[in-house]
Amino acid sequence: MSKTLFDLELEAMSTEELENVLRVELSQVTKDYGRIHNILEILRARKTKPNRSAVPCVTQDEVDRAYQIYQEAMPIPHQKPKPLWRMKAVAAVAAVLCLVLVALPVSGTPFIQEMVAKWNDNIFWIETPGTPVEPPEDYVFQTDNPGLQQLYDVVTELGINFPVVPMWLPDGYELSQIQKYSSPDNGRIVSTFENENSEIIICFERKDGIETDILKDIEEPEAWWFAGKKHFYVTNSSKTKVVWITDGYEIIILASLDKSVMHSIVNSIYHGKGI
Amino acid sequence: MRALLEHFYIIVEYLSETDIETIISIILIDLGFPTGRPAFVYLKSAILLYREKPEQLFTWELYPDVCKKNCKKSRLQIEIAIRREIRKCWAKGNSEKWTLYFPNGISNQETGPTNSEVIIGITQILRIWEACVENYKKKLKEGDKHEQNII
Repeated sequence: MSKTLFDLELEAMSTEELENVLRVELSQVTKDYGRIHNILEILRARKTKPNRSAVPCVTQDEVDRAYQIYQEAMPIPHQKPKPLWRMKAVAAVAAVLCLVLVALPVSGTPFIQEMVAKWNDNIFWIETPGTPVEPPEDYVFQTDNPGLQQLYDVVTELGINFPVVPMWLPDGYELSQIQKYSSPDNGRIVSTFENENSEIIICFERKDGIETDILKDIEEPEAWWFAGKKHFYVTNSSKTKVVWITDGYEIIILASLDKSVMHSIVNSIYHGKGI
Repeated sequence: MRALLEHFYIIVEYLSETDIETIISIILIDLGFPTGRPAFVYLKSAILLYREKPEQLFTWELYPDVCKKNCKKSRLQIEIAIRREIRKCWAKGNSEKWTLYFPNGISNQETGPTNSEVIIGITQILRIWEACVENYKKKLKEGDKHEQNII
């Protein structure tokens, strides 16, 4: 503690004068504890000098009694320091979760957008459009079906860069018509492939805030993963549909085919023809 | 313990008739607590209240009583003020005096004692002080009797 002029004055006083000052200070109603402490420190320092014999004789009985009093009082609770590593781990996990939920959609990663498919007992729909993605570098459209080639040319004119057109359909299906519905709000291409008994409809619709409701039966949609995106397999009585979103377009393949055949058609979009 | 007793025996002749609040203030100043800060008053009130009613809960009983006695602050603000002041004094204060008053040591040497350690520790020290005062007065009486006998 730094010494003030007051302290220097006190040090200059004799022991008797200091004791008188101390008595006066202690008798005050509003005590100056700092000054009292300083006076006591000076008196204690004087009394403990080697030449002075004022060090009190403390007996072992007094020490033992004091220690007993000390022990009988409330024990000091020993508090373990909080494990900070746990708090840091929780904070790190929370930060990663925030990054995943907030940063990924901003960066355009399609993972989050693909998670917003919804359905009830009657209707299946996807609410938000997918973000534009780059096509794979080794993607080459090759097909034996001239109808699919024609469809591919139309879709490419529309500006869809990512693979969306199947490269394979079951034998016998030929292109019957391609209908183009173009408008500022809803650009749509509907292609129909027919054989003797049934048809396959492949529909491309621009998602600009307009939702399309797809009728379904009570069964839960099944998610197929292709190229990092979820493709939803939806059933509606005898019809089966596969629905997904890419490059801002919702693609629907509608047919009365087995699940394995539908899976092969969707697989051929990314991995070429053949089952 | 011996060092603490010697420390007390030197000053007991001056402070034997003093109120306990002065003793608490002197102990706190010895440990390095500045008198001008509100935490000094809060800590002194907490020690006095705990001395009257030991084993009370700090968060739900002691700090609210300190709030009522001193100011309109919340119990959390009282606790934070005391904790910060203790940490500052531990960091800057006289380590010899801390060792003198807490001979059993402190649980966390890095951050210093907790609020409860200081309040309970000083309450224990006050009991030792009262024992010293009692002993001093007893010796004075025995000394007077001895003089009377001589006379």
